[in-house]
Amino acid sequence: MVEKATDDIRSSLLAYPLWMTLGWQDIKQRYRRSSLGPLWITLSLAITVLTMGFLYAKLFHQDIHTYLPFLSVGMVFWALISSLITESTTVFIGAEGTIKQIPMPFSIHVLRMIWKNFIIFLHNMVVVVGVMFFFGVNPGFNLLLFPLAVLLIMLNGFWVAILLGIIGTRYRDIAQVVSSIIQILFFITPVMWSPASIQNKLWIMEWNPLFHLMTIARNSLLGGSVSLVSWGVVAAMAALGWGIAFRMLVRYRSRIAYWL
Amino acid sequence: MSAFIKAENVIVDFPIYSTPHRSLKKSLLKIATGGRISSDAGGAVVVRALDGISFDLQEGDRLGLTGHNGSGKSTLLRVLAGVYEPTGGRLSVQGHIASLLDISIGMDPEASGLENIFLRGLLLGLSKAEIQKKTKEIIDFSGLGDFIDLPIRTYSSGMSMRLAFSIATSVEADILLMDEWLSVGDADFVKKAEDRLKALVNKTPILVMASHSPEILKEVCSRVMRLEKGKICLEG
Ligand SMILES: Nc1ncnc2c1ncn2[C@@H]1O[C@H](COP(=O)(O)OP(=O)(O)OP(=O)(O)O)[C@@H](O)[C@H]1O
Ligand SMILES: [Mg+2]
Repeated sequence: MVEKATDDIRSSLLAYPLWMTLGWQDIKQRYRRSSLGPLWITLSLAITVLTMGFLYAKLFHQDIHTYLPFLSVGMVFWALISSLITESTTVFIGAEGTIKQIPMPFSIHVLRMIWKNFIIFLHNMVVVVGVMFFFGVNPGFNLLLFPLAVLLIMLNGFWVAILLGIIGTRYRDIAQVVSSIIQILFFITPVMWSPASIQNKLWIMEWNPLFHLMTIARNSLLGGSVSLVSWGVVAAMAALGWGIAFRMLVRYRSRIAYWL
Repeated sequence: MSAFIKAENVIVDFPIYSTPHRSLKKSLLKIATGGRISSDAGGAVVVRALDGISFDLQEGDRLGLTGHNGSGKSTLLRVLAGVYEPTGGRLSVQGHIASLLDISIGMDPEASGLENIFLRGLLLGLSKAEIQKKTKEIIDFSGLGDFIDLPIRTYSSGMSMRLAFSIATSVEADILLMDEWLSVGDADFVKKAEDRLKALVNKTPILVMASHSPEILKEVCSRVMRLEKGKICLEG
């Protein structure tokens, strides 16, 4: 059982041409009949960031020169993290046809979903880079941490998808629950507002795992002092989460097809 | 190593979740109310689709499955394909499996015929180089000509079946699984397809095929197994 689960993950990673192609296909399918294609992703994010940036900079009395870079990083990473989590719940349900006809390691479906969101993320990063250039933001050596931040987020996304994917296949209302939770998290996570601007820190803030994901993302792109606590929490979360998710995979891998 | 299939007492139970079982909220409420006695207390209803199936297949064997609707033929094929892991018993399969159970799965209607050949090929476990080698032959056989560059949503149903068939039957495998003898296209194509399928069956070491037609079973298979409520009731 343990070998089969390990093998599921290993052979899925090795089948990268398959999940990379399928992930791309998912994006192409959505934009196939539009002339701009996947550039729509970039464009729509740019519009959102600009309108919200100017509006909220006024509302929160923030300097646009610091607020817009802050917001663009926040929005791009929020888009990544929230879609990784919400799409996790349907990662196997969405692949029902394939799972029931062409058996392949289950993690391939997870990697396909992660790869798709990674490509969208890269498109969105164009906006971040543009904003950073325009406002002359220099992250300095912190930028070296950027690949690590993305890798840690993906590693966390991977175990979340295995865990929620399995639970979501068995209990179909999980998808609803998770998307409601994500909507609430949007407001208590520092996406639009800066934790530095809050005088009375609420304890709930730092118990929100997404707080730390946001912090490591901003650490790497906007410079400033590196928060060891946040990097530690995110790494610990990856380790702990993988422990739990792997156990779930060992136990329920062979049941997924029956639950579909 | 030569291909074989060895099934020992294979059992498949399908859990049937009525809507309440699918819902976490209901499951939690059930715990909260202290587990009232009900017909499905603790577990869901199960359907036993396969009930102690045993057989051995070596290279050269052509097994035909027959039996009433719901007797477990398709389920057995899916177990052999690796979709369902048996809930009981043992199954060992050696050899590369090609499944013709649903030949149009994984086709993207917005993508062109050519892109679909590539997609399907990847799903079937072929490498890019292997797909490229087969592409021309697939296009030629399908007879789609220039249509191959158009999205398959513009195809007639017969045209997309031709393409699916041409791709699915271009595989090389040790074990071939088929749910009913495939027959696609118009009169001309049916004949061509028939020859191609026969050639494929002949060159594949092991065949397992479900069919309701005694003539086809007699023509293609060397052994026939009749299923009845998930059990083998007749072999010969
Ligand atoms: N996914 C599933 N969930 C629940 N029950 C199933 C599932 N698939 C099959 N069954 C049950 O298993 C039994 C065997 O079904 P199966 O499809 O194998 O029959 P079959 O012999 O292929 O029938 P047919 O001749 O109609 O194709 C049936 O009672 C069916 O209701
Ligand atoms: Mg059937």
